[in-house]
Amino acid sequence: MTMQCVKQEMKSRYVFRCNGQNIWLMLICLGCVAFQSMWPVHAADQVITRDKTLFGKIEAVTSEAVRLLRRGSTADLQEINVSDILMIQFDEEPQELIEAKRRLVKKEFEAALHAVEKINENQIEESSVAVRGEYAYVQAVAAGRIAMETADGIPSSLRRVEKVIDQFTRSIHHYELLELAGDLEVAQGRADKAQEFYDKMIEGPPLIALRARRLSGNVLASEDRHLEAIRTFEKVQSENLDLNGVEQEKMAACLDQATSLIALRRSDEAVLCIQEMLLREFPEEVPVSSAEELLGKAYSVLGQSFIETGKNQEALIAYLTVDLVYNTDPNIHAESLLQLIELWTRGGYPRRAAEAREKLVNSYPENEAATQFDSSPE
Amino acid sequence: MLEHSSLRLITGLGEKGYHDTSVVVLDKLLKNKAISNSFRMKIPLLRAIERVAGVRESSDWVQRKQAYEEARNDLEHLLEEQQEQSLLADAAFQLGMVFLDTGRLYKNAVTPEYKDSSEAHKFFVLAVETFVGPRSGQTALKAFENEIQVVEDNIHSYRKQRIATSGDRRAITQLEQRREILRGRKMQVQLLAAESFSEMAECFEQNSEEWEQSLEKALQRYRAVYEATPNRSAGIWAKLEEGKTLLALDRQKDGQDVLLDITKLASSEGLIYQLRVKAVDALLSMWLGTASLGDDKNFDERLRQFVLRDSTAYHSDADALSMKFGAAELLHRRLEASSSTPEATRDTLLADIRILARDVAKNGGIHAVSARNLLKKLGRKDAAFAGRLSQGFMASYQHAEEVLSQYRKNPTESKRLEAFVELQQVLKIAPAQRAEDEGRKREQLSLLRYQLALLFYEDKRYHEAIALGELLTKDSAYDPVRKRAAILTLATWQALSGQKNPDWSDDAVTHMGDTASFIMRRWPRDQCSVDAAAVSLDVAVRNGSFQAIEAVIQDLAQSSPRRDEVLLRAGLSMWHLCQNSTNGQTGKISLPRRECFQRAIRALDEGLLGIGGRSVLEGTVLEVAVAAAVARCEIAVLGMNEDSLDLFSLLTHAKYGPWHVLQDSSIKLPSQMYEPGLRACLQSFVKVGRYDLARQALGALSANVSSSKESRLRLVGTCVAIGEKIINAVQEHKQQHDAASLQHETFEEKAELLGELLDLVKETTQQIDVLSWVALTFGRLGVSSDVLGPGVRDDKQKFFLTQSGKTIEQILLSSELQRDAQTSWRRELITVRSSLGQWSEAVKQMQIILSDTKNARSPFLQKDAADLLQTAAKSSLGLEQSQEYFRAAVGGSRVMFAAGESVMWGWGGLANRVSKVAFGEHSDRSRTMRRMYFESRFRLATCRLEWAQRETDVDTKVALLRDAEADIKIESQLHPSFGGVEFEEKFQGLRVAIQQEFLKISEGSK
Repeated sequence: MTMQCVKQEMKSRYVFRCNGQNIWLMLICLGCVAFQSMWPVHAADQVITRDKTLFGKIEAVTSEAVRLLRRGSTADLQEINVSDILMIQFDEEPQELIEAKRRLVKKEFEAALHAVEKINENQIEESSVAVRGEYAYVQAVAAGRIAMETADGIPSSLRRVEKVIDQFTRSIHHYELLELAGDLEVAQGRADKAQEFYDKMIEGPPLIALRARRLSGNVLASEDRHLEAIRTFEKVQSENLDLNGVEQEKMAACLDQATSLIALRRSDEAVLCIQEMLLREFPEEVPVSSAEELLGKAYSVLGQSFIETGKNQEALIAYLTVDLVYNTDPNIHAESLLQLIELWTRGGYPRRAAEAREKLVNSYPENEAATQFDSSPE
Repeated sequence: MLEHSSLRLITGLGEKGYHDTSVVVLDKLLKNKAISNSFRMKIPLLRAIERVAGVRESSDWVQRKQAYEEARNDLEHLLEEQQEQSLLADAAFQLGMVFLDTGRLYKNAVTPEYKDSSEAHKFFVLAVETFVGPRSGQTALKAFENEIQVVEDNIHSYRKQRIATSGDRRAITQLEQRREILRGRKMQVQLLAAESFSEMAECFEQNSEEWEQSLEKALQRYRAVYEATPNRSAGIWAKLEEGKTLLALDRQKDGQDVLLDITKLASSEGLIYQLRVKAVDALLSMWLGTASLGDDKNFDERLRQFVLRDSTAYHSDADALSMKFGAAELLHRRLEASSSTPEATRDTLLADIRILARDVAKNGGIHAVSARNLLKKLGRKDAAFAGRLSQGFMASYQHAEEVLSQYRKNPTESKRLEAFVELQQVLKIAPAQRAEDEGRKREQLSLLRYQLALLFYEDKRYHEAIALGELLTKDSAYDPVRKRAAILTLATWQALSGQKNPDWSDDAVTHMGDTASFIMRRWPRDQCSVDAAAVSLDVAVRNGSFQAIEAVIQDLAQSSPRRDEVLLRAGLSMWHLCQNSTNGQTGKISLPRRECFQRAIRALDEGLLGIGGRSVLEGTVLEVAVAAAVARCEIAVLGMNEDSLDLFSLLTHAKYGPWHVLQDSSIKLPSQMYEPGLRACLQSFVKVGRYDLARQALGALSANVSSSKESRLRLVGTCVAIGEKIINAVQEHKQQHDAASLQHETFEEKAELLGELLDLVKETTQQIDVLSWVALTFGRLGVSSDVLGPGVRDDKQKFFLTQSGKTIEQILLSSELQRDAQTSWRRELITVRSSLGQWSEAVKQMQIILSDTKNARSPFLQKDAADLLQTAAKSSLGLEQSQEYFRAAVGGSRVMFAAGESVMWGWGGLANRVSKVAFGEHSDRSRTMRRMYFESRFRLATCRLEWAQRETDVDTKVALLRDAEADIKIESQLHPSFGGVEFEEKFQGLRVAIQQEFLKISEGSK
C-alpha cells in the first residue's frame, strides 16, 4: 500500500469517526486498496483501442491485426483489427518509448521525438524485434510529420520511413507508414511516387483501402486534376461499409471534394457539400479531438467557399465558429483569425478586427501571418 | 451537429460581447430548413436573450426600451405557443427579467423626460407576476416547478427499474444534476420577485403606505426563501435582504439581529464572506445614522477585527470599501467623544481609523474623497498622505518622472533611494487617483513599473527586477514597455547567470535562453531580436550545444533585417565549438567534426554575403563581420573546407576584409580583435603565397601583440607553425621536383619571411627548445648545401648564419643548459663560425670545449679540434695566423682559461694517445681507434705538406716536406700495410704529392 493511500485511509477513518458522514473518503481508500491488489496487471502487454485497454500477452502482430492472449484466458486468442487500435504496448518497452507513442497519438510530434531521444539505444538493441520496430516507427513518424510541418528535411525523413517499412514488414504501423511516405512524396511534389505508396495501402483492410482511395484523390488534386479528384472523393463517400471510422473518412472526403470544388470555382457546390456534411451526426466512436479537428477544417473550408462567392457575413460566421468553437488545429485557427481580421475590417468593426489580430499575434506569434502585424493596440 | 455547433458559437459570441452577431447567426438559423423543430423553437428565446444582453450596457434609453419591447413580444409569443417545459421555464424567466429591466429603465432614467415612476411600478408588478404570479399564463416559478416534477418523475421511473444499466445510472446522475439546477433557478425567481417588490417601493414616496406595503411584501418573500433554504447561499442572501429591508422599514432591532446573525457565519472567503461584509456594511450605515453612541455598542471587538482584516481578494470590492469607511467613521465618532478615555485606548482607535481610512483612500471608489477628508482630520502626516492621494495621477506621474530624471542626471546612491521611494509611492496610490484618460494612465503605470524594475536592476536587486520585468513582459498591454521589460529581464537573467551557486547559475542560463527565444519570436524584426539571438548563442556556446545554435538560426525570421548578423554570430559560435571539440565530435551532439565545419562555413558564408550588401558597416556590426571573416580565414587555413573560397578577396574585402579593416587606422576595433585578426591574415597570406603581404602582416602582428605572457606564447606558436609549414612545403617541393626548378624569386620571398619569423621568435621568447629551432633553422638557411639554402643570396646566407650564431650564444647564456648540451651547442657555433670564416672565434669555442677535462680526454673532440685547426690554417688569410694554426694542428697547443687549461693534442698527439688502444686487444673500440690512428698519422703528414705549400721560405718548406716524408716512412716501417688498402692508397698518394712539391721547389730554384 502506498504511503498516500495509508494517509488517505487514516484521514478517512478520522473523518468518519468525527461526523459519520464522510463516507466517500473511506470508499476512495477502499478503492485504493482494491487497486493495489490489481497491481500486477501492469506487468503485461497492452492493446489500447478507442474505448478500452486490453491486457495480456501479444502473441502475434501483422500489418492488419494483433493477436492477444487476454489476461486470465488460457486458450482463445483475441484478434484486434489495426483500424481499431490506437496503440500497443509491450511489457518490456522502455517507459520513454511508451511516452513517445502517447505523444504521437496526441499528434505532439516534437514531444514524441524528444521522448524517444531519451531512450538508451543500447537498451533498444537488446530488445525484441517488436520493440525495436516500435522504436523505429516512433522515430520515423515523428521526424516525418515534423518535416511535413516545417517543410524541412523531407527527403531524409522519407528515406527513414522507407527504411522502417522495409525493415519491419509485419508492423501494425505498416499502413500508417505507407501513408506517411505518400504524404512526404506529395510534399515533394512527386505525385506518381506518392500514388505508389497509396496503392500499396489499397491492399490493406477495407478502412485503410478506403482511406488510400481518398488520399489518391488528394494526389490528383495536388496535380490540379480536380475533376478526377472529385470523382474519387464521390466514390469514397458512396461506399457502403459498416465499419468504425468509415464515416470519418467520408467526411474527410467531403471536405477534400469541397476544396477541389473551390479550386474549380464551383464554390456554391462546395458550400452545399459541406452544409450537408454538417447536418450529419458524428458516429459515437469518433474521438472528440478528431471530430473537433474535422469540424474546424469543415468550417474553415466553408468560410473559404463563402468568401469565394462573396458572402462575407456567412464567411464571418463560419470563421467565428472555427475561432470560438473548433480551434484545436493551430494552422486552421490562425488562418481563421487572419480571415476574421479582414472580414471584421470590411464589415466596419475595427475594434473586433483588432481583437482578432491581437489574438492571432498572442496565440501564434510564430505564425507567418501573425508576424505581419504589429501587435501594438490601435 | 449543426445545432450543437451553433449553440456553442452563440455561447462564445455572448462571452465576447458580440451579441449583435449572435442575433444575426440566430436569424440565419431560423431560415435554415435543415435545423430541427425543437431547435427552431428555441431560437426566439435565444434571440431575445441576445437582444437584451446587447443593449444592457447601452446609454441610449430609447434603444434599450425598443430592445426590451421586441424581446417582450418574442417571449410572450413563445409562451403562448410553447408547450415544452424547459423552454417555457426559460422563456418565463427571461420575460420576467425583461420586465424587471424595463422597470429599472423607467425608475433610474437620468433624463426627467424618461423617468416615470408609475411606468416603473407597472413593470415591476409585471415582473413579479411573471416570476411568481398570480398570472393567467405561465409563471417562471410554476414552469420550474413543473419541470422539476417532470425530472423527478423521470428519476423515479429509472429507479423503479429492477436492473439499472450503466446508461441508466448515467441518466439518473444527469437528471439529478438537472434537478439541482432547476431548484436553484426556482430560488432565483423567488429572490427576483422579492427584489422586484423592494425596487418597486422606490417608485413611491418614502414611508408612504404603498412604499411600506411593497417593502413588507419583499420582506415576506425574502423570509420565505430563507426559511426554504436556510443553509444555501440563496437563503443567506435572502436573509441579508430581509435584514436590510427591516432597517429600511425602521425596525432596527429586528434588522440588527438578523444582520448580526449573518456576520457570525463562519467563512473567510467566497460568497458567504461577501454576504458578511454586506451585512456589516448595512449595520454600520444604520449605526452611523443613530444619534446616540450607545446604539452602536454591537460594533464590538469581533466586528472591529473583521473590518480591519486585510483580505487581498476583496481589496477593491465596493462593499468592502464601503464597510471599511463606515467603520472608520464610526470609530472616529467614538474617538471624538472619548476625551476622558485613557491615552492608550485613544491611540488604538486612532491607529485603526488610520488603517481603514488609508485603505479606502488608496483603493479609490465612491468613499475615497470622504476617506481623504477624514485622514486630514487625523494629523499632519495623514493629511499629507491624503494630499498626495488627492492629486491627479498625471501630477504623480510627472513628479515620478522628475525624480527619475534627477537621478539619471546625478546617479548617486541617495538619489536612487529617493527615486525608489517615490516610484513605489506613486505606484501604491495610483489606483485611487483620477486620470482623464484611463488608457493613458495604464500605459504610464506600465512605464513606471518598468522604471522601477530598472532601478532594481541597477541596484543589483536582480530577483525583484526579474519579478517585475517578467510581469510586464507577460501582462503589459503596451508593446514598447513589454519589449523593454523583456530586454531588461534578459539582461537580469544574464547578470544572475554569474552566480556562484552552479544550480542557480544554470537555472538563470535556462531562463536566459527562454527569454531570448521569446523576444525573437515576439519581435522578430526588431533590433532586440538580434541581441536576444546573440544571447541565445552565448547560452548555446556555454552549453556546448551545436543544435541550440542551429535552433537560434531557425527561430530567427527569414525576413529579419539583421539576419545576416545573427548568421555571422551563429557561424562564429559554431566555429568556436568546432575548435573546442574533441574526439572528432562537436558539442553535445553527435556530429562529425567535418560536418560541424561545413555548417559553420554555411552560416558564415551566408552571413558575409548578406552583410556585404549593406551600404555601411560600423560599430558592433563591423566587429562581428570582421570576426566572422577572420573565422572564415582560419577555417580555410586549416584546410577543412573543400570549397573554392577566394581567400585573398576575403582578406582584402573593402567592407569587412580583415586585412583591409585592421590596417585602416581610422577604424577602431576592440584591441583584442587585432591579434587573432592579424594572425589569420598572416596565415592566410602564407596559404595564398603572398609572402610580401605575409611579412607586412607579421610586422603588424608583432606590433600589436601585448606584453602578456599568453600573447607572446601565442605569437611564438604562430610563427613556429608557419615556419614549419614553409619548411615542410619547401622540403616536399624538393622531393617532388628537381631543385633547379625551384623558382628563386619565390624562395627568396619565403626565405625573407622565414628569416623575419625567426627573428621575431628569437626576440620574443627565451625558451631553449624554441631558440634551438630558431638557431638551427637560421643555420640551415645560411648553408647552401641544406635544402633551404639554395636560392638564398650570399649576403643573406651570411646574415642568417650570423643570426644563428647570435641565437646560439643566447642559448649558451642560459643557466638551464647542461654540460653536454653546452658542448653540442658550442660545436654548432663552431660550424657557424667556420662557415662565416670566423676562425679565431671558432677555435676559441673549441678551446673552451676542451677546457673541460672530460672533453679534453675525448679523442673524437681532439680529432675535431685538429681538423678545425688544419682547416683554419688553410683558410686564414694571414700567414702568421696560418702558421700558428698549422703548428697547433701538428703538435697541439695549451691555453689557460679561468675554468682551467685547455689542451689540444694536434694530429701527432692524437696518434700517440690512441696508438695504445688501437693496437691493443681486438675490439670494436680498438678498431675505431686504429682507424683514428691512421687518420691522424695521415692528416699529420698532410698538414705538414699543406703548411709547406703555404710557407714562402724555401728552407722551412723543405724542412716541413721532409718531416712529412719522414712521417710516412716511419709509418711504413711501423705498420707496412698502413692498416688496410684505403690508407695505404692515401699514404701513397700523399707521398707522390710531397715528391711533386719537392720537384716544384727544385724547379723553382733553377
